[in-house]
Amino acid sequence: MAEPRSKVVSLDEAGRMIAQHKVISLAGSHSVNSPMALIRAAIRNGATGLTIIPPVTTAIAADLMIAAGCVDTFYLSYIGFETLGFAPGFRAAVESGKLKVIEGDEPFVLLGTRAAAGGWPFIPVPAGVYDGTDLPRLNPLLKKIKDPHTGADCYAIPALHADCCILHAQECDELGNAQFWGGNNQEPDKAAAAKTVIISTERIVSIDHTRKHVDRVTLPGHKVAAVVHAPYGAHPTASPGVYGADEPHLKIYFDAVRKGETKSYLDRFVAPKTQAEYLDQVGLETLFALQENA
Amino acid sequence: MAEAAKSASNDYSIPELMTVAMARVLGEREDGKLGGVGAAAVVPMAAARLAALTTAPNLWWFCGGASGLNPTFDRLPKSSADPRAALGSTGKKNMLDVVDMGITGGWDWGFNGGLQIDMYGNINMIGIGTYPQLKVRGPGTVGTIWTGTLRRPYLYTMHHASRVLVEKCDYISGPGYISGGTSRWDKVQNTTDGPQLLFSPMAILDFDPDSKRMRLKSVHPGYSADDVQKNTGFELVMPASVPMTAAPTAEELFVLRRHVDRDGVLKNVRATIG
Repeated sequence: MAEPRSKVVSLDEAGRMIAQHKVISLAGSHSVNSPMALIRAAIRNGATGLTIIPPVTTAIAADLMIAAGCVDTFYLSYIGFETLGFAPGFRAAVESGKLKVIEGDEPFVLLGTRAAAGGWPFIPVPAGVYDGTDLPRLNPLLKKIKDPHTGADCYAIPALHADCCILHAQECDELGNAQFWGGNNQEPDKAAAAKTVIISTERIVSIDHTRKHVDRVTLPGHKVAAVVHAPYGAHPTASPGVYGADEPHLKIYFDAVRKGETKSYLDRFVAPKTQAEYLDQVGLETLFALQENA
Repeated sequence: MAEAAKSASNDYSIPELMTVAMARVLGEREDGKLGGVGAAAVVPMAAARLAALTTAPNLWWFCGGASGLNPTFDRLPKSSADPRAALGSTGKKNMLDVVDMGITGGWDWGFNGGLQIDMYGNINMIGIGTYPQLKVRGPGTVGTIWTGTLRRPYLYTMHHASRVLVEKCDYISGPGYISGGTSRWDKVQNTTDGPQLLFSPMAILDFDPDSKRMRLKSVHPGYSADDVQKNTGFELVMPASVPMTAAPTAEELFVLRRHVDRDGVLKNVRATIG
């Protein structure tokens, strides 16, 4: 009898794997379920010159990578800290001319990902979706075409392929069969649109546990290259059903970057090499309290 | 900027007043219809929940990032992406459904805001200045594109100021009436009505039926029509007499505070004038 090979690797090893790629995609929404431990590990391992394909809304996940100087090109739908304000790293990078932005939106990022996931070269949408806006003028990847059947004008949203998709799961087994609780299900297409998938998880569960709860498995693990055990791996964003977003921490980040003190944040919260050292910086009292807001 | 908007009364906050005003409109116009609110939209989110409990019991509403339909939270989350915003939902929509319905015109109503909103109700989330190295880089278009396909878009802003309410948006990420008159329908699907109202911390505004220019509809207690004009970056269409927005009733505030926002989030949401 033979056993399947475990995909579990250390956080540091996952960081090295991510840093070898150029086009990285993410899921999660706003300050919920972002793969923050993986992002910190990628930054520590020298990720550079990245192109980021985010979910339709993102906050610190993409902003931290931009603020740390890892990102050249960003596919934009929305990046911001909601009630706190504009994403400070993103804003500074654009306003100083250091970041190339592909001016997209919800359908551009979502349908571009769908196209890549399904092997479609592009997805056409009726011209009326974009003609009233400046997006076609600002985004050369939105190309106007004729519907070959009716002759109607359309815009072709190109397939958005990624090299590596990084995700944070609430539960995942050692083969990469993952459960994402909450959210709006952007993970399966993001994973399918990438060459490889790396997952961090609150809990590594047994394969028997996966079998018992198969109706809750969002993403089967066949495409997953690596699984990392990272409790509080979404912190400071929320992990649905496990802990809430750490709003005071998000504010610490927001203020540091806005004041040009990104390095002090990176030294304190990104430099720690293991997840345990990072959580020491955050503090147990804080981590326990966040469980009340899950 | 930015003096914090003040209520004429200590009895309610401006975000509470805006919530109640939106809930009344949802009751008058949208009961039984399907709509939604975006993610950074705590006031419209509270309004939809309040409407479902009071003015619009048949409302269908979609709650942004957490993706629940008709949630029944009583502790208003600050973001609709907070998983707790989906508490007690009767269904969920994944992001692909949301986009499919945006393109096919499946949404009856929705709330959108912007970095700039102009005299024809166009929205800018892209930025201010010369592209690409903008002077102010906005957060991105996200779902504001759907003001072109929603049957009845509603607009709101938490900052009533000349820099927000501008004559012409630097960029359009959500189409309103474009350049006024019938110009909207040269660009977008003609099954949509265009922006209905704008809710601000000072006033409720609508649009002149012919020119489609923004018009003052009612002024919140504590402000005058002149105050509104002074803090608006273009000339408003001004009716002969402008009524006052009716203050929230005791019953509206009771339901809002006991069944929608038990933690008093709306007392601390930032609303500014000027």
